[in-house]
Amino acid sequence: MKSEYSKELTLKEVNDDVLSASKPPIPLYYFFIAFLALVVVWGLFAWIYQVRRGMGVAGLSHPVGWGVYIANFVFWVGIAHSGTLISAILFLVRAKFRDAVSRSAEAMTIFAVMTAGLFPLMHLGRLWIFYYIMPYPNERELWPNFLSPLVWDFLAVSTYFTVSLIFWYVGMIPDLASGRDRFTKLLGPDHIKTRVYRALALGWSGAESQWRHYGRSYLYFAALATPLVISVHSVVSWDFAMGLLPGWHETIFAPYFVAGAIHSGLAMVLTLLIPLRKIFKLEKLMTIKHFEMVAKTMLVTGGILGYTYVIEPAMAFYSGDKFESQFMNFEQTGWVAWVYYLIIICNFFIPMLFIFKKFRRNFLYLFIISLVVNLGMWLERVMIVAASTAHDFLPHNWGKYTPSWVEISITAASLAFFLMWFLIFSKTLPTVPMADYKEQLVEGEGFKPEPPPKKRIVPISIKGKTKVMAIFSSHEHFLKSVKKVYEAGYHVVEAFSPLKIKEVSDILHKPKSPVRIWTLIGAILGIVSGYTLAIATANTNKLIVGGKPPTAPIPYTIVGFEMLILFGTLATLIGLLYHSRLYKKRIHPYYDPRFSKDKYGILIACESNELNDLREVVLSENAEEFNVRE
Amino acid sequence: MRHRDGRVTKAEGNPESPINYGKLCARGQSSVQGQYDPDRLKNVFYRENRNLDEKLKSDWESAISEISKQIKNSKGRVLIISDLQTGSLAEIMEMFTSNQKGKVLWYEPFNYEVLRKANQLVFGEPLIPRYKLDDTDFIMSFGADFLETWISPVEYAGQFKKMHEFEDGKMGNFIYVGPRFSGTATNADEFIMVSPESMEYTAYSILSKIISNGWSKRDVGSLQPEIDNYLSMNTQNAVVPDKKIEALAKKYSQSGSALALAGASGVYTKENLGTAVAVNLLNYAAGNLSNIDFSTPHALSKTAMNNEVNDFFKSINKDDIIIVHNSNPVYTWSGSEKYLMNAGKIIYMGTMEDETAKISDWMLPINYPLEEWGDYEPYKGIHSLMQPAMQSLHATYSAGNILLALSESAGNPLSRKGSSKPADHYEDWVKQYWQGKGIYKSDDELQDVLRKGIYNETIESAGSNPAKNISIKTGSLNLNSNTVSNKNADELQLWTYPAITLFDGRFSNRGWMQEIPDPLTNITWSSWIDINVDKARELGLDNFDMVEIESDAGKIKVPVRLTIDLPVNVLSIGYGQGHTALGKNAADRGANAFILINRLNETGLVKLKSAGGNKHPVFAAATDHQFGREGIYEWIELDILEKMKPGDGEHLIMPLPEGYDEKRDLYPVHTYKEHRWAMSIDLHACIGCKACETACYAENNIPVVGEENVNEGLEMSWIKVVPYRMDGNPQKVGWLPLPCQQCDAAPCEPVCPVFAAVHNEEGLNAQIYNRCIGTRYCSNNCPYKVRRFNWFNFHFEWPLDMQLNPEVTVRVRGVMEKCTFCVQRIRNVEYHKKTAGEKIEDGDITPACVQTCPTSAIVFGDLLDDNSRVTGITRHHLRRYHVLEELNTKPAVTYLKRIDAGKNA
Repeated sequence: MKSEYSKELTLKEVNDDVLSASKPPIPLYYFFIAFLALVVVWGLFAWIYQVRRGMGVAGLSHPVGWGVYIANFVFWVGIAHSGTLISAILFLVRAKFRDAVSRSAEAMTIFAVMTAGLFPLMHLGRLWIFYYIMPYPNERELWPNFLSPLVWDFLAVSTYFTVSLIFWYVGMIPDLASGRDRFTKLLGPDHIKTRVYRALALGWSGAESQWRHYGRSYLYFAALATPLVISVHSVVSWDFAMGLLPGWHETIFAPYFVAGAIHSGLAMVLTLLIPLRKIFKLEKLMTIKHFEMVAKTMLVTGGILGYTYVIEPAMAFYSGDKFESQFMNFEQTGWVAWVYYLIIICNFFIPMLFIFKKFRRNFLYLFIISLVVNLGMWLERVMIVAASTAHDFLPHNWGKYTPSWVEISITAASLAFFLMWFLIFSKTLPTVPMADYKEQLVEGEGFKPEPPPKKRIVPISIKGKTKVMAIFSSHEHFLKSVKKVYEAGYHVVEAFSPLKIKEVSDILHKPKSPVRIWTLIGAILGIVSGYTLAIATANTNKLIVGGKPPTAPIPYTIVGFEMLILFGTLATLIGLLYHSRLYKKRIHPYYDPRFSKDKYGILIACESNELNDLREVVLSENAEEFNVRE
Repeated sequence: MRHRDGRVTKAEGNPESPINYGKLCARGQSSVQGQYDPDRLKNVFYRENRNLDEKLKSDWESAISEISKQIKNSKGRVLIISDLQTGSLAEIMEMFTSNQKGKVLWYEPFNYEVLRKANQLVFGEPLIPRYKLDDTDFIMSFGADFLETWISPVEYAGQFKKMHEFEDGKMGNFIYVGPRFSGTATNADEFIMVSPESMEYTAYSILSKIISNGWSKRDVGSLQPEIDNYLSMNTQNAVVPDKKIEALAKKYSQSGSALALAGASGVYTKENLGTAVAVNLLNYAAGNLSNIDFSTPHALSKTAMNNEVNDFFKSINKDDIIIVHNSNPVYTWSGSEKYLMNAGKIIYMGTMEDETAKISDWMLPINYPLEEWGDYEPYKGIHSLMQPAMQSLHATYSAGNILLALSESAGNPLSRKGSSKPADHYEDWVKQYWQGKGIYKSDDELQDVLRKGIYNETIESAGSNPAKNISIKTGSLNLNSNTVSNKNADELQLWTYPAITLFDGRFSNRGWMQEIPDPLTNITWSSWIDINVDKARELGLDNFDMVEIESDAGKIKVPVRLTIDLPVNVLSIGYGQGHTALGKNAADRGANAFILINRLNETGLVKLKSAGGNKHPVFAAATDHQFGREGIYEWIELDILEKMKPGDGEHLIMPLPEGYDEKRDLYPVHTYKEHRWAMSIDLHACIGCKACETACYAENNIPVVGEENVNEGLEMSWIKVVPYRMDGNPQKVGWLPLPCQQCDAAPCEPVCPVFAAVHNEEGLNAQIYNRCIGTRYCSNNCPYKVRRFNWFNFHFEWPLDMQLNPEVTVRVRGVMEKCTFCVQRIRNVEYHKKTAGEKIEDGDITPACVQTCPTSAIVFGDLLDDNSRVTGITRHHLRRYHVLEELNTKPAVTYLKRIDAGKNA
């Protein structure tokens, strides 16, 4: 079986290739982890020094209050976004090339958000009271200021982390089950690895009754995550656009930052996955075609960035506003000018090389260009953050910014932190979404059965009935068999599969998953709670800020929106766990471990006298096994 | 003085004073740092070997008995070298020394010798008169920086404001002629840059024009031939165009009340003297002599002239015992050390271990003036009464008591003539002196008199003494017939000046005085010498290259600053740095300009050569140009102002509900119930003296961050007085005091995630320190950048922490701070009025900056009070504007544009 992106691959091969990557590592791996951990510890010492001495040890000063830390924050959140783009947005538009890369991309998201989340703490003057920014009832009787973009950041990024984590984890459940089954076989049921996988897999059995809810809820997660991506980086961009400084106060910032985020994130995907596929021998699964599609997407995002690079100076000079045009002049000719031009080259002109097939079909070029884009995007963040504060309205306040050794150490440590987690992930968890990938392979066969007319089959209790488990290797035969069994009037108790089987649910005329009700309720609850939280807390303290009244509906929309996504996602998760009975963490009693690898199964209940007829029906469709269970 | 729990925290002037009306300059505000200087002398020390630094602790008993023994057995004289003293302490010192065949040398490094000599030559009085600037309508200053350090700057500042303001359709004019674009010069309507010899030439040219055109009010025609002869011999010094000279002469003589000033302090050259003589003649010829009052001369008139000082030093021999009181000749008089070392014994009585203390045999720590009884008579007839504001901090005694104890112990007790009983204590002496002057009679009167603090004696003022004939005769003007042109190619002319914060170097250990930037250059903690840009290029010098400057008195190494603010062949350096002792902040910092000065015969010529290397001074601001940006520092031309009618002026967005316009503002109004505090700052009155900056440091516990941190941009001042040059005319500079604007729609408030920056019910932008988590977004979003972040924990070394104002939090690292309109003072008055059941009147509340501004440029009040001054100004003043108004921040500080009258001069 093949998909248009990979060579001939069987489901088993997919399973084995991906899961065998987590066998015990070579010494070089330990060396790398140790080295990265050392860099992280060095960064930790630098951080402690900064906390004890004060922020003055950073290169920051009056007027440049923000520097590398905030740039790092924006950079890492940006990287996180393309992971969600690949898993969620590309899922919604059914882009097939996402399969091989989406798991790693999502993992990248999680670790990038974790890394990003360190920086708002790091740049605080008094980080030991960071919890003042959290909205919870406290003895200070004070609530945070929901008009502040930093609070929106806090909500957006923590929502993003939560949602990404849920999305990533839910997506992994079938693969964790594969791992559980494989390691039970290879290492025994009591090995620590097996136990961890088993715990994480939550009793996933690949049953149709689970897949039905799973498929739906995954769709809703994706649907919730998509606007979240746009909103989170828009919120991050509003850290700047809500300020009034020239160079910050621009309406283009939201799309500019979102495009930039995806641009840098895709570059990071290339940077991480090109070595990953070689090191963990996933060449068959991740082909050049996958990466080519990533490169093509970068053309789009690079194009948007290019537009911004043109429109910003154009607007500044066209407006005639002295502050804006002089600022743009400063960026182009002042002490940041080298960064300004380097950015345009790195972020626009060099990725435009992907127009040429030669550059986008070659792993080495892809890798190098991705590194260049990463550097360019990081520099762009630093320039945006530092240049505007350094050169604002009153000339006597102008200043300069040079990162100090503390900031450089912490930045290096954050990169090491991210890589460390990514390395750990690539050795411990399945780096390719096997269930999705298998689905792609199977879809390549192109078989789509027609659902039969609905039959009323009274579900009978299976107690005392004869149970038959028919096992198949072929997807086509499996589906046809289900249809035949159903048409013959038998009670199909359960169907098992290593990949999503929406067709079975259709054949069996199962009702649509009610998870969507949970999502809806969660979303409505979320938006109402968000607005209520903001409005109610603002009216408790009734503080006037910036001439705005305590209740300001426009900024509170962001609070409402983020809570909508958060609650919607949590509700969907709860719905999923409930309806698919995953909360019971119990494997289906008739489960066969091969179902998570490459075999399909149908569990039918019948009277003992119907057994032979049933056998005929089933075997007519090339069932490999026909096991009778009492 | 404000004090709390027995310790002084803040210096403020005495509102009853007819000199400063309660205002203090920056140096006056720093007096509390002098009181609590950690490097103050705290113990009695003696040295066994004057050449070694090593000092040994002793005690008062030993000191008094030892020293008095020496005095008793002395074959020679007991001499006192003291800073200027008047009244009681002067009496004691004079009596003390005359009893011991000695005398007192009243030694001040700035003795205004040039001015006094010129006054003697022209008016017959070697005195410093009391100048009255407030009734003048035209002032010409020839190098006299009367708004900074010259004689009585706070007094002149207040008077200058009055003469210079635009009232009833007209305003006075002020022209500054001189070699350096000083702070005073920036406040002139026109600055005419000339070298020192051209300055003298210009003064005589104007005089000549007045005489030849017949514009003089009094007859000086007999001098014309000599003057014209001088002018014709020195045409190379004519740099000011003839038309200008004519215009100045006309304006000066046709003004109703003109006054010319000269006699820059710290410069003893022939040219400076010549200028002062010319200026006196100008005043006599066409000025208003009632502005010059010799009947109430300044106390500085009695300080020793350079010749006297020189003779004094030369006469010191090994039998002499010298007592140095509050004076530092080793630092301020180049070459004096070797003469002082001739003395048998040197006893140092002072508060700091300065260079002179370092060569003394005994160091006796004395009370700082805030710990003392005493009096000071700045002008004849005005008595300032001093009482201790707090107990002595260290084991110090008052100088008066030491002298009384010494004389008694030496067997020759002093007693005051005309007193019923001898004074055994300095305090008694002082009180007897006061009673002798008729300041009070009985003890119950004493409290009232002390409370008032000032006693005005009635002096029959002749008004204008120089109505008598000038004593100068023809041929005796001694005009410089050969000018001091640069004899050699590498010789340049030196122009020195007292730095506005450091003065003669006595304040150099005070953190505030080092950290508050030099006004026009924005330099802190550093030494530099100014050189003209073109000259530097000619000599191949880059900005901040180290050079060696050598005169016939000594040489120093200092970095150059390239500037357009002085003429091509002139170098200019301020006094005050280059200490080798005095304390941690002062020592080993910069260069001592006094080394270059030959007091007796200053030619003003120095040689410059490159010394290799580069030393960047520490700047506290990035630039002083506006780059065409509007709405920052604004000028208004006098012609335009003269044509304006009531109701004209910019339409301001008020920081009140009425300032909200639904076409422009997205959000609705919020109202104020009782007060809306606001300020107005008259840029035409601000002279850039930095008194407000210093007062703010003192009042609000603002830390001094030190040289390295200022270099990183971490200084903490809440109000900055920023110089801005006019676009296209860089020798017009204005001063922009920039406190927090307490904006009604403050951009700093909505961005704070934790509500640490909120708007309070009286219109202030409140910064709540204990809420702040230090994200610094508020500072990023402030377009005025008036917010300051605590980048480190700054330490107040004992006893400087005793100066801290207990009503203001001392901030920890990680917290943002800024000007609060002195909210502690606002609340203080509110509470007191509330408990007394009274209403708050306009003027009851004065933030620290408002309180001390010598020109009262800052007005503070309540915008909800229709009758308050600030309301009148904000709503109706013709010159009103807001800084960066178009950002719609609705600031509560209204500025009044500086009047540009330059074309009219």
